[in-house]
Amino acid sequence: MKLRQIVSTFLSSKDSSSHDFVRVYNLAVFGVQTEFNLDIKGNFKTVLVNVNPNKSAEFPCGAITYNKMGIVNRNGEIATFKRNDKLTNYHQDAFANTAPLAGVPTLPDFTGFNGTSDGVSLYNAYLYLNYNYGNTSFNLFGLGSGTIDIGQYTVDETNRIIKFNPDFIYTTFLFEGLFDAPLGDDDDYEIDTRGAQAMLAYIRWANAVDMPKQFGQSTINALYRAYTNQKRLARMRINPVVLNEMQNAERRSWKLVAKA
Amino acid sequence: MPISSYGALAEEISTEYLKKVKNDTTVYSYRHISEMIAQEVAYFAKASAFENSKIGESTFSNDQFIVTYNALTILTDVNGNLYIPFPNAPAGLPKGREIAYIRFTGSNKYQIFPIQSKDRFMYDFTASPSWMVKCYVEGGNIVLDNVPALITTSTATIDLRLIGSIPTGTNLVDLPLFIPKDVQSLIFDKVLSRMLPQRSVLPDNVNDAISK
Repeated sequence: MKLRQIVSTFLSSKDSSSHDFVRVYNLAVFGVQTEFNLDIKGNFKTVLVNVNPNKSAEFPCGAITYNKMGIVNRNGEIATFKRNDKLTNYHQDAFANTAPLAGVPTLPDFTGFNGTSDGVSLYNAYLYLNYNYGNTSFNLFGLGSGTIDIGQYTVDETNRIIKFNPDFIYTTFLFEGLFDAPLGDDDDYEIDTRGAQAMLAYIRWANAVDMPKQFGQSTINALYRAYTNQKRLARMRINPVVLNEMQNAERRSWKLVAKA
Repeated sequence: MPISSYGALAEEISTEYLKKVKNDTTVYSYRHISEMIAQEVAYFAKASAFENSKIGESTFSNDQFIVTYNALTILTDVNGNLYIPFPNAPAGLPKGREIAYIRFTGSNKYQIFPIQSKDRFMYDFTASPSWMVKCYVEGGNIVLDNVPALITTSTATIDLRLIGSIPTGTNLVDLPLFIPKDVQSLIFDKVLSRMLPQRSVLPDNVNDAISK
């Protein structure tokens, strides 16, 4: 459903005209870009992003935040990198610098029990937990389960830069995240029909909240409550309970465990 | 002359005036009275808007006050802005509501939305979709803003509906007047009352067949 259709419905309902359209449409656009995109139905996209020579990457244009970064396996499933906030941001914005850590004092490589590096020197061995050792993996009792470590990153959201570990080998990676609300083909925002009532309620409230002469505080409060309730209903409609999927998830979670 | 026209109402008012003011040599032309009628039409269009606003939130006049202008030519000013001159002065309604409707002739792909001049700076900071053409009143013109490149002076004309204006024509007396009948009565009384004090007619107590 086009945003302008919802705005026109509202104007018709309040016995208004095209004179109010631009003002109300602007309010609605702001609602789409903020409340709706962030809280009700986000515009999630996956894009392929280039890695700079200094092992950093810039947030894709229009990205608000991220939820996955990685590469794919042969099944098309995304294998995610690991977040490591200990990675330094030094020279993160010197994109063309191929040795961004040059000159920074570096810890010596790890030496194994037998006096060799045993192939683990590429990673920060002083923090390494030994469940991926010598190209094999095994569980150690009492340690947390390991995850694959195909790359590590830290994110500087203020400057919208992703920084990878110095040994990061990929030149591109998949970035999945929340992007700005998209304009449709005909230059208008498309509102999910399941959230149209919430949009209408949002416009009603946003239209009233800055007009204290026309609308009393109790009316504004009532409109806000109506909006929050419609928002709740919209989220329920957009994320329905699919019984079959729940049964599948429940069956997949069956496992044999040792009990005391 | 149409059944209901400025001239017809002016004739009625003139007749009534001459009945009240005997032996008056003052000549009120129908054209003069028609101008007064046109002013009162605008006044009652505004009154209609205020009546409507008492009923609800609207500030819109009764549709019978609407005057239609079709296929108005778009012009370009020295700054390259597209505009149309007001075909005739409308009533002054709150928030510029005298423009009841404005559109490009024969097309609703691009809609024109009236804004007020005070809001222009805000809309400079907010993105406008290509279909949202805005217009504002400035110096007796309706200026278009955010106009797509396809719309030029040679490719488009404008249909306009104004409140409380007078139709286009060469002679006001001959122009049709389709305001509500009850408002005609009010206008009749008001124009007549504007005309009578001009004479300051005193009671004619002397039976000498000469009016004072």
